Amino acid sequence: MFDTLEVVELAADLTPESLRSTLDDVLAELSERVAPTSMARERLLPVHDSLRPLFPDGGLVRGRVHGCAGSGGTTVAMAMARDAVVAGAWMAVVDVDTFGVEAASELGVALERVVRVDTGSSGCVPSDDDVVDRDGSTADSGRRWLEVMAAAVDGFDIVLTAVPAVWRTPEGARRATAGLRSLAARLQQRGSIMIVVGPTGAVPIDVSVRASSTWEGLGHGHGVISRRQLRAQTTGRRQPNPASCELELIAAGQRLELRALPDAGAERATGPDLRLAV
Amino acid sequence: MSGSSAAGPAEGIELSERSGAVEPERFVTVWCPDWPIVAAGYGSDQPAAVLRSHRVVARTEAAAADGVVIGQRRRQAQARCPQIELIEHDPTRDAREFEGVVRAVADMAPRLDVIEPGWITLAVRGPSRYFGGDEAVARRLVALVGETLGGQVGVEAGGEADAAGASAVRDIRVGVGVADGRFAASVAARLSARRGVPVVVEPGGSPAFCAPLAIGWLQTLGEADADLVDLFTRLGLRRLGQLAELDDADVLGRFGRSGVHARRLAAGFDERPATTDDPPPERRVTKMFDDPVAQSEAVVFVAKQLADDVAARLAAVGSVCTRLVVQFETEHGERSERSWYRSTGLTSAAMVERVRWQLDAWMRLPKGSEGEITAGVALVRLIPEEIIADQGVQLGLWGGQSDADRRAGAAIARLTTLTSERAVTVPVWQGGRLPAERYRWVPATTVDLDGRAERAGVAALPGFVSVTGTGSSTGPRASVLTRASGSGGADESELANAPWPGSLPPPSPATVYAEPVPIEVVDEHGVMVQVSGRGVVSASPAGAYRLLGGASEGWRRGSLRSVRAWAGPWPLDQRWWEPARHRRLARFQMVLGRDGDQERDEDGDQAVLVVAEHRRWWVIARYD
Repeated sequence: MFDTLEVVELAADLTPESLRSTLDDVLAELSERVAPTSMARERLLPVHDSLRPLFPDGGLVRGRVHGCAGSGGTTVAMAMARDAVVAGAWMAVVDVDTFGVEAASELGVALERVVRVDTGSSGCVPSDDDVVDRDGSTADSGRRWLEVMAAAVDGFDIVLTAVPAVWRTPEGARRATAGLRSLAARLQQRGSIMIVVGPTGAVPIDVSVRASSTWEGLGHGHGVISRRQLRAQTTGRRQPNPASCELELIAAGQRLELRALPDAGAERATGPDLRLAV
Repeated sequence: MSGSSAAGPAEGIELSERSGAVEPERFVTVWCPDWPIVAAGYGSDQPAAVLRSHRVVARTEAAAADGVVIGQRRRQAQARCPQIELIEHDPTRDAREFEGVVRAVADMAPRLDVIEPGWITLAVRGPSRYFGGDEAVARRLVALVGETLGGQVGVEAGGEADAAGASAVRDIRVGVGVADGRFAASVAARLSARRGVPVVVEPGGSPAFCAPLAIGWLQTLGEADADLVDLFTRLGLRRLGQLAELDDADVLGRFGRSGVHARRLAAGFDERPATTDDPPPERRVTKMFDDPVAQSEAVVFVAKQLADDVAARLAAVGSVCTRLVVQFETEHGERSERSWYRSTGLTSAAMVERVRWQLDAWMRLPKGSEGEITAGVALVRLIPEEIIADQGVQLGLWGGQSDADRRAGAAIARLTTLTSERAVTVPVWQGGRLPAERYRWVPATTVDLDGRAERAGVAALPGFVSVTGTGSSTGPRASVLTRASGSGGADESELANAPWPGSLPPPSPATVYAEPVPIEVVDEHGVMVQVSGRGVVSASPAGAYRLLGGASEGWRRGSLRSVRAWAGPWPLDQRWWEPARHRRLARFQMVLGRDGDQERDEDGDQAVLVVAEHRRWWVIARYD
């Protein structure tokens, strides 16, 4: 939980007396000052009730990289951003040229605080089923993406993005590490949240959300999609206990209602062995 | 007002220092309450409300009678009035519908300021001399606006308003107020809208008129922010008169510049007299096109450069423009000229937005009306008619920009320099029947993001809107919302009662492909499914091949996925009157199975939106 930069700042604040004290004392003092759980709470962005089971902190922790994949990944990403954007946060959509504005609007995302940025590099489809593989991108486009992402992270609380194709190859991943590390550090420092839709490639993911969907209302030659059941599961290095939740999206007028379903699956997913670990 | 004698000398000095106009100019203000709902074409007897960011910003009288209040959430409004029609707010529509009123009033007195759709102010001296008194002008304006709206709206809503008769259905309220100073006139107009008769304040009567009014009026008219008004209230200054009695120096010491501004208005003085002189020619900026431009976007882009130029020049001398005249001329000599006013100053983005509104309203004039646009725009001119010293007041409006808004604004500027103007965009609703058509991405630099942020700030402050009154009373705070939203920009605006028959109901696909993905839909025998011109499917779809390759090298079949469920075809034949943009296609929703793809089996099925066009199949969007 220690934020390196904050520790450095705190060290700078220390009085000469405490500097003279032993290293243990300094560390103890630091841990006391940094430890309060309110620190973590302050660094939270709100998240919709129905998704809360996924995030044990009760919201989206600032500075983290979230990955959303699977069938329904984009919808989950939009739903995750929704409450924060409604509460006044801004969202940048970087290089997701497939962003369905109407779907976002139906979910209740406040569109007046959504800005789209195209780096002109990848135009990649955030699709893990690789419907199209337009792999025309170069290392240069990857650098552009990093540059734009750094600027976006500075100004926006939420940055929704897709990783350019070049950072998804093993070769590109090797070259990208330094740049990606400084992006992650900047993210931590600015307290923004990054949501990656589709394949993540070389980008280190803190919390990865995997979604799967079933649809209702469609028959064989009749009906129309009217309800969707979405199951999302989180894992990742910042999420020691995998969590899952199930929700339903129901069309209500021009809106979609998000409702949590009583989740029998969550019990199974976490399982008794993991409980023991806690 | 008792305090006027004590405060008088100080004011005299201040005013003469500022402008030399000791006697404030008289204004007449026309105010159409709940303009967004009128613009949407609803009569007062239909329960309806206009929403922005899930909050009611305007509603009809029928809705008000059921307890729908401005500032309410969508759910609360629906709970109070289940049969209510909810419409998303569309500032462009407001501006467009208001054009008729502006034109009618401009016929009577050409020099008018449009403050926002639904709100006009003009200097009354000339018209009053011509028509024989302020009362006469006010009555004339009421009649004029009522006539315009009755006609215009009645025609517009002819389909739904049916035989009840346009005049009976359209009980449109118009407020007209005359007073010394813009502020007092605007207050008078709002009171007039409630009382149903024009309110005329005698010359020199503005201080006495303002004194007994609640302090919240400052906020209602956007002259002071919520924090300041709240502070005044907590300090016991509940009436404008009480504020006016304070000493100018004390107010400056305790409340700063904005406090002095508020006090001056409360005392019935207008800081900025309207001018009817022509501005010095060097302030105008003009762009002539060698080739007339027919696309509004291109004109807006040029206007953006002009606005940047104007704003930069004014900023260099520490000024900001409060009244901007925008002129267009076409190749055929048609002209459009409007004057736009914003008391806190127009930023370059706000100027561009007003250009956009004006252009949009002009281009959508009904055919055959006077001054209709028939050719490309050949000239754009921006004239900053009124400038004031920039005191940075625009930042504090509506409770202020949040830190997030400021950071985002800076980041947008930085991103624009990093990439290009066209690469940094914001969504604007435009309507359509296919997912890719429904929203348009407009360069962020041509939209008044400050305005969007301000309005967003209103919605985001829960304490701010929860204090609105109940029933049909429109409290000062409630009206702020109306105004805040009315000053809007191009925004998310999606009509709840879909004006696009034939578009698919929600949920909408979250992933919309910029370029459709070619596929081949086959029946159970592996034969490609055909859709006839009458919308009949040759066989039931059973599987879909992904197509690889290209049109040049030929298509080859990729992996096969089973069709688990499907519905359609929903045929679409649009723009048949325009050969170049004519599209004829059939839409399908399909759920594709994940068979044969063990690795990703856990993801489950995929729902996609598929179209058949020119005997080819495409995936245009995914319910991701």
